[in-house]
Amino acid sequence: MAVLQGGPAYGYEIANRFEEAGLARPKGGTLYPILSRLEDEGLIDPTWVEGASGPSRKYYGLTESGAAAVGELGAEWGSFVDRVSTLFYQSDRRAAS
Amino acid sequence: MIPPPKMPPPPSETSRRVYFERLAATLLAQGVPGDRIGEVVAELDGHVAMARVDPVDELGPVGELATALATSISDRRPVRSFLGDSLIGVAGGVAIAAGGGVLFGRQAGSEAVLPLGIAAYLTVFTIGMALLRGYGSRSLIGKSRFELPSATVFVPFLVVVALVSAITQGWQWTTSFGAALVLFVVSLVSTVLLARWSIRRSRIEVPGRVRHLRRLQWGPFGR
Repeated sequence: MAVLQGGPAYGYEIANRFEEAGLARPKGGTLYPILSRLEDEGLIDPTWVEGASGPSRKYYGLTESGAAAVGELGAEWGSFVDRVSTLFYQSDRRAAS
Repeated sequence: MIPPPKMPPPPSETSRRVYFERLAATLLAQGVPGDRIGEVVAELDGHVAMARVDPVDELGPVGELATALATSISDRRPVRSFLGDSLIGVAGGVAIAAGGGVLFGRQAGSEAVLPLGIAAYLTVFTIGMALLRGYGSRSLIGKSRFELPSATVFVPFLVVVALVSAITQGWQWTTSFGAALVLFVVSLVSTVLLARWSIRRSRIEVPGRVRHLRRLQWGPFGR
């Protein structure tokens, strides 16, 4: 969902955004069931856009509740990373002393 | 000078069509509504075409993907319900029996003889088929039709149907011609309405102009 903060995107584009962010590119078999679940939970909102020459594409954008969920999950993730970092630094200090 | 890396050839339309036909059939069997199936298939087909990869490599085996997708969709419902299929069988059986009585069973005066045995036979047959559908679909889709689980259920079923057919062959009901006509019209209309309802529930509509997936809309899964 954080990937969609940059604006609506279709499935293939979402996979590319992971790659651009330096993360592993998710396979379609993993990505689409997740998108489907998030759509079902009302966290992302799909819109079909007719392609100029190619096929239609399904763009996903964050809903209000989706954007709120990204904020909450981001805060939780930040807190988790802080706790893990503290653990690492404590271990480093102990090893140094 | 190093030549630029060659792009892999895109997957053939045939391999994509076969993969997505099987996916559509499996999702339908798992109770995913037809409109959702059409969207999923069009979206995944576009992804595979853009990524220029084989559908199995990118999306995994059809069965696993279908299960993952189906569990992520909450508004699943049995597309072919046992009750719906049984009702079609009962209404259709009565329509045939009443129609037969109206057309061929008219007696002297204003009476008609309805061959009720046909209705009983069709009722047993369709209820049995509706019961078998859920069990049989696991082994019939994409595999041999002669696998053991299907055969062990289907063969005894055919024996039961043959016995019912023999027992009910002579069943008849004499009633007034007017009543037979009303019964025929009511049961025929009911059969048509139930069949239309059943077809609509399982119709798959693929959005956009996806030529090689058009068969899904009008093929065996879309009808």
